[in-house]
Amino acid sequence: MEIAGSSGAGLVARIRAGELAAEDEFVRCYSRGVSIIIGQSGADPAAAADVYQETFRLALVKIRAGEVRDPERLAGFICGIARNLAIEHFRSAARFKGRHEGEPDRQFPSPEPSQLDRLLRAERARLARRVLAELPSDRDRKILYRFYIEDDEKEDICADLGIGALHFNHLISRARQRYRKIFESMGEGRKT
Amino acid sequence: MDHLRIEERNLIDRYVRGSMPVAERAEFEEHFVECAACQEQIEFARSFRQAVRESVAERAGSGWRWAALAAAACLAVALAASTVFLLQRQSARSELANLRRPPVVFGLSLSRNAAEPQTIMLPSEPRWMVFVAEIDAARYSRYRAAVVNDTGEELWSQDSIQPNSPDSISVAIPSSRLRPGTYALTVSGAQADGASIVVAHFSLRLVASK
Repeated sequence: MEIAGSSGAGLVARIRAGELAAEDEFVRCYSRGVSIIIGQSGADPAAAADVYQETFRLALVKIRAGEVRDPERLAGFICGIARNLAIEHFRSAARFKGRHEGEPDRQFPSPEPSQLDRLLRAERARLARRVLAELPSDRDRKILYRFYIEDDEKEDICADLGIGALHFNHLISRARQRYRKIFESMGEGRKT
Repeated sequence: MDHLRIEERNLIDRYVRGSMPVAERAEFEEHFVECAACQEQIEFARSFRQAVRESVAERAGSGWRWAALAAAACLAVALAASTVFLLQRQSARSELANLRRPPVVFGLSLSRNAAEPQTIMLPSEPRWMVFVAEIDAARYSRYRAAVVNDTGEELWSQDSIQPNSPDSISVAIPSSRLRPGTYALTVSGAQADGASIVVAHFSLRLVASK
């Protein structure tokens, strides 16, 4: 993906020159990737949204102030900010909870999933069962079970079951593509 | 970083599982933050992984929750000393061959476990063993569980376990991964930087079925 025709250095220069359109372009280009990085931290959606906002706010402040050491590696710059803020958020949340533990009038976000979350989970689970049921053999199901449930490494699975790496990659890729196809077709109201 | 290398090294799945070294993770993130194709693959990989886990949990979920509630009720009137509640419930039909047998469920409590290891009988045939651990599960959104033998060797582990209530998590272990002996089941809270903090430690004495 090109950064909308601008290199990292080009975007940095335009932002430092005060071009607001360049700031919008910067956020647009890195929004999805930053969301994925923050999501990897396991933060709840509300916290993830806070970290997301702070990531771009801080990044723009630093860019405007000329604090980007290597403008060509703008991607690495924004990744580092997102990771560090996610880590800091977790630490702050843990310290806050520890300080106020036992105070009856304090309200903390419930870790229980919302009703919508439960519905989405149930739907995802149904799609996954469909994908698993469509696999041609129990061995293929066992491979996915070991990889996704037991978190076994690919090399161990291949060695134990006597399969090649290509077969393994093909199976995982095929299962994910099938899941995606069913998922997307549901969104378009079509049955597959 | 090119896509051939990403495919060959299963970087998408390893990233979603959180099993990449720090440097490799940073390199991969710097790539995909500018790559729409990889972003899409990661999102679907994450969704599919979660869906597969949820499909398994849901199948035995009603049985496990019933068992956890029953165990909690029994605990209120149980006497001291190590006590293990074995609860069995028929699971729904499962697509995965080695899940067709009903799981066995055990309740783990720190207060009861403090005195001496809990004795757990291993099933004679492979099946799920579900440990419902009573812990303060509200501190972290994800947990890691591991079974460690007395030499410190890790026999089994699982990351990204989500709590099923503010005061318990369920840890499902295939019985084929366990052998008779004395072990520790440790539960750790997962931090954003990849490190984890041990929040509970249960001593288990696994014995073979007669």
